[in-house]
Amino acid sequence: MARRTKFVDSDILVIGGGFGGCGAAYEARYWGRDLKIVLVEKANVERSGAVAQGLSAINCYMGMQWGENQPEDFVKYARGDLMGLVREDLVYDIARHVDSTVHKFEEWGLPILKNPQTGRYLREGKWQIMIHGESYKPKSPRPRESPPPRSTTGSW
Amino acid sequence: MPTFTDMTKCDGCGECVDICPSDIMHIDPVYRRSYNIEPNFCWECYSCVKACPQNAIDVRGYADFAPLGHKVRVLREPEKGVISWKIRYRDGRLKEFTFPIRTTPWGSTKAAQDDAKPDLSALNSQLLAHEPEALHIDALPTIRRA
Repeated sequence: MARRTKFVDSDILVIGGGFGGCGAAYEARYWGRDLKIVLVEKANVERSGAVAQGLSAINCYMGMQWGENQPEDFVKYARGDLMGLVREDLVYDIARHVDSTVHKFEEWGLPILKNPQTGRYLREGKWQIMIHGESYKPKSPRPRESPPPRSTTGSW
Repeated sequence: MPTFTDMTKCDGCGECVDICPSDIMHIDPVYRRSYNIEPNFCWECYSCVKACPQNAIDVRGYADFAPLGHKVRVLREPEKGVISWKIRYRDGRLKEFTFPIRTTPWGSTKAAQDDAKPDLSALNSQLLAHEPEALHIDALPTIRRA
C-alpha cells in the first residue's frame, strides 16, 4: 500500500494521545490560547492508550483535603517501592498536583464512590480510590467535544 | 482472550476497525466482515465489543485460563449513562452488573479554551490549570528549604 506523508506545522507537538498526552494538550491549550497544538495518535483517541477499556480505580490520590496523605508520604512510598531509583522531585510534583486533576474529573462527570457517612472517597488501598471508570477516557475534555459514540442496540 | 466476529451478525460497518487501539480489527476484503487479524496482540479491552452496533463481536477466553462454555457480554448505553455486563458461567450461573459511566451529560465537559483566560503571569508559578482552587486546600504544597 502506498503511504503518503503529510507535513503539519505546530507550536506544540504532543506525541501520543493516551491520558498523559491528552492531559498535556489540555494544559497547553489552557495557557496557550493562540498556539497551534497538534496531538498525534496512531489510533482512535476515544479508546487509545493504556486506559482504553476504562478503569475501576484511580491508583494515586493523596486526599490532601482530608489530611489523608501528603506528597512527602508518596515520595517515601515510591522510593521504597522502586528501591531508591526515583527522581524524588518528579514524584513529589506528581503527588502534589494529582488531587486537583481527580477533582476536575469528578466535576466533568467521573463517578467516584464515596463513604455516605463521611463523604470521603472510598479507598481500596492507601493510594487508590474507587471509580466507575468505563468512560474515563471518552468523557475527558477535548478541543471541541464530539457527539457521544454510537450506541449499541439490540438484544444480547 | 482475543475477539472474534460472528459473521452472520456483522454488517461490515467498520466501527470496530475505527475504535480498536491496536488496529487489529480489519474488514476481510473478500467476505466484507470484520475479523481480528492478530489475536495474540489483542488487549481484550472490549472497545470493539462495546462499539459494535450489531453486537457481533465476542471475546473468547484462553482455554487454560477460562474454561470453555462461559460468556461475557456487555451493553454500553451512553445516552442512558450506564454499562451493563452479563457473565454466564460454564455451569449455567449468571451474574449481571450495571454501572454508571458518567454523572454529567455528554458534551458538557468544557474544553480548555472555553475556560476564562488565565492570567499569564501565573505561568511563572508552579500552579497548573485550575489550581489552587481545584486542589481543595489553601495552597499548592511546596518543599521548604532548610
